[in-house]
Amino acid sequence: MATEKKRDFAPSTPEREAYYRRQFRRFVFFTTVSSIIPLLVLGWIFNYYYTEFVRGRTKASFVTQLEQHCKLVELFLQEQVAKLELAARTHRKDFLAQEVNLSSVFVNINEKRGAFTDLGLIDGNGRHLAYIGPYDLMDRDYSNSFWFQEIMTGPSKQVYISDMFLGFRDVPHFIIAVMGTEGSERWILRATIETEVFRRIVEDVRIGSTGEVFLLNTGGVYQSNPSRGGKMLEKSIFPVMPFTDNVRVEVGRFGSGDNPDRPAMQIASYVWLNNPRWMLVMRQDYSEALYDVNHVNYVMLVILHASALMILVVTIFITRYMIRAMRKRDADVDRANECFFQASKLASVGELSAGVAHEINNPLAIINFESQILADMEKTSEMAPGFREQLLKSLARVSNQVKRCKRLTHNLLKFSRQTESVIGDVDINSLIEDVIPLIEREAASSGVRLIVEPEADLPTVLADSSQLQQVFLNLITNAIDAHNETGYGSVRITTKSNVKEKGVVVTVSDTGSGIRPEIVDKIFDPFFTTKPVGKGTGLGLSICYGIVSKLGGNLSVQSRYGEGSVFTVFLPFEPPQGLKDNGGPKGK
Amino acid sequence: METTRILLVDDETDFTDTMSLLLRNRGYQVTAVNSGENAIKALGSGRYDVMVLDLKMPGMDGMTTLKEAKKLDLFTETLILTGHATVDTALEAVKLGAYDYLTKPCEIGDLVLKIQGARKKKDATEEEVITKKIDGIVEGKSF
Repeated sequence: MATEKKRDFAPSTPEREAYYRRQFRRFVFFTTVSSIIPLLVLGWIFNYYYTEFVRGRTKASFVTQLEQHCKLVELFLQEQVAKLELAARTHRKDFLAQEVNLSSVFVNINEKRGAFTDLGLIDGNGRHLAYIGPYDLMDRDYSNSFWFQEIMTGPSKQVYISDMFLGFRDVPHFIIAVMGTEGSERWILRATIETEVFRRIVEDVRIGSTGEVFLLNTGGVYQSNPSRGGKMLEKSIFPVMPFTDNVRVEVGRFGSGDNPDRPAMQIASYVWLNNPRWMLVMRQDYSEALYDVNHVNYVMLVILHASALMILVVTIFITRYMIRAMRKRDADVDRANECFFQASKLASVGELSAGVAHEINNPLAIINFESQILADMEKTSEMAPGFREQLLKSLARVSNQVKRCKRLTHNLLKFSRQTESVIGDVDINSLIEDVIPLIEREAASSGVRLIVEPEADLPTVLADSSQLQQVFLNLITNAIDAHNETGYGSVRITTKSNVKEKGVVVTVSDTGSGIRPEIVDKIFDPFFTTKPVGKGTGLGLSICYGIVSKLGGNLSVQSRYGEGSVFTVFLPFEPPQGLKDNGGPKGK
Repeated sequence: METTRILLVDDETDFTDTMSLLLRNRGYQVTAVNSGENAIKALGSGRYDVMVLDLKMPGMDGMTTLKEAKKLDLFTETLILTGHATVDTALEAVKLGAYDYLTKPCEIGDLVLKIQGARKKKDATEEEVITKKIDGIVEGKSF
């Protein structure tokens, strides 16, 4: 009755291992495809659209910024032009020709911003009539200067704004000239814009660390100081864009002043001022402009791919776990199959042995009777004494062996019939009562007194009555046989109900020879017997143990060698579930 | 007392030969048949005190033979002698009217004891019935 060792995994065949590997790969593949790929595709698509959207917004805000800045610059220029125009229109040439007056006008128009460096009145011939300013220009003749010619000859140009130029003073500056007319006379009020003031206005924009703002004229010459390399009045690498009305923005490699060899990708917006025809450009390294977006983009992609990776990892772990579960299930199935095969083998062996046992009884009977015939004849025949002696001895031996065979086949048949149980309500007291008369005679001839002490109103037990009968018969017979050496004694049979354990306890105690302690553990083993050769087969107690266990009960023994033994049978009121359902109709 | 007449019913001839000789040596009158059908025929045509009947036979088995024999309403007592007696089959046989049962192989002493017991019972029953019949005649009852 040793318990089976639990094996975790049955040894697996190479085909099975290959199968597990295939399943593993398949499952990981399908899960990956169905979850990771949609995730990645959707992630990328979403990321792309989002990034494009934000890039668009960035460009748009770039545009807006330049628009506003452009207005600022234009407003400044318009403001200064308006001041000059006002001065030209509200004062006569003669008034302005006097330095005192011109000075006062100059102070007035310069009050707020200090945008004018100087102010000069120039006649129609290009000669200074009056001049207020830091330079010594009174004697200059501007009749050949481009700006003079522009304003005097240009088609109805009342206002002229020049590009930056060095001029007589050798310092980059630009002028605003306003024409005044008095009758047929024409004169010019010319002012120089303070380059610093103008520059500050142009460059007063925050655009990161790689950004800059500058003005270019139609020739691509800097009209301001770009912050990233290049100088005023130098030709810019930046291309002169075609004239447009509104702000344009472009992304490209426009060449950076500080890195003409490997120009960075930049975003540049530009707009043309009308008067003067200058291009206001604002540009920034694309990477800096889109730094935030790119950062978010990067983080999103990292998270996306990390998620995908995690899905893959988790899938692998789960699949591994599942394959292990499959393995275990297969191992369990294997083990169950093994048990089933064992059981059906046993069943067929049982059936076979039943058939054999059955068939052997007839020949045994014949052997027995034939030897009996000889024994009968011995009584009335003449024979040599030696022969008679031997004959009787041999006949006795034959008889013993036949008895032994009989017991063996008998128990074997009983053992093999332990297949189906017929479950019903069994009153143990009446069962024992039925059994007693069957062995009364044997007890009497052995000198053993049978004492039965049943508990009154013993509750019934759900069990197989014929099997239980076998058990009690066997136990009581054993108890009687235990007195073989003494020739007297008593066998006490008690029944008691145990409500706590939910069952009935039956004890069979004897005053016989007892069981030696070293073999007490073996007595329930099949084929273990203490009886002399020819007497016992050793199947009885093992059969009893099997019957009681199957009914959900327990059979145990306590013994004192030389004093006696007590066999205790515990039977539950209700057998285990599986047994109840298996009880079939009578008839084997 | 007359010799006990035994009808031995078993399909195996070796067995019936041996058993017949053994019993005859002990002073019994033995008739052996090899099938249930022949047993019924024999019971119908002869008179027997005890029938020793095997359970496992081809054709009409022991239980059926017992049932048919009982229908004949004879005084013959039946002893079941079988290869394997379970508690159930023994009970059933007794319910059907068998006197007792024995398992093969058996001790001749046990067998003889049971035959004697069966014979006694048969005689007692027969006497009782005949007495009743005679009383019936005396009392003018018809039968």
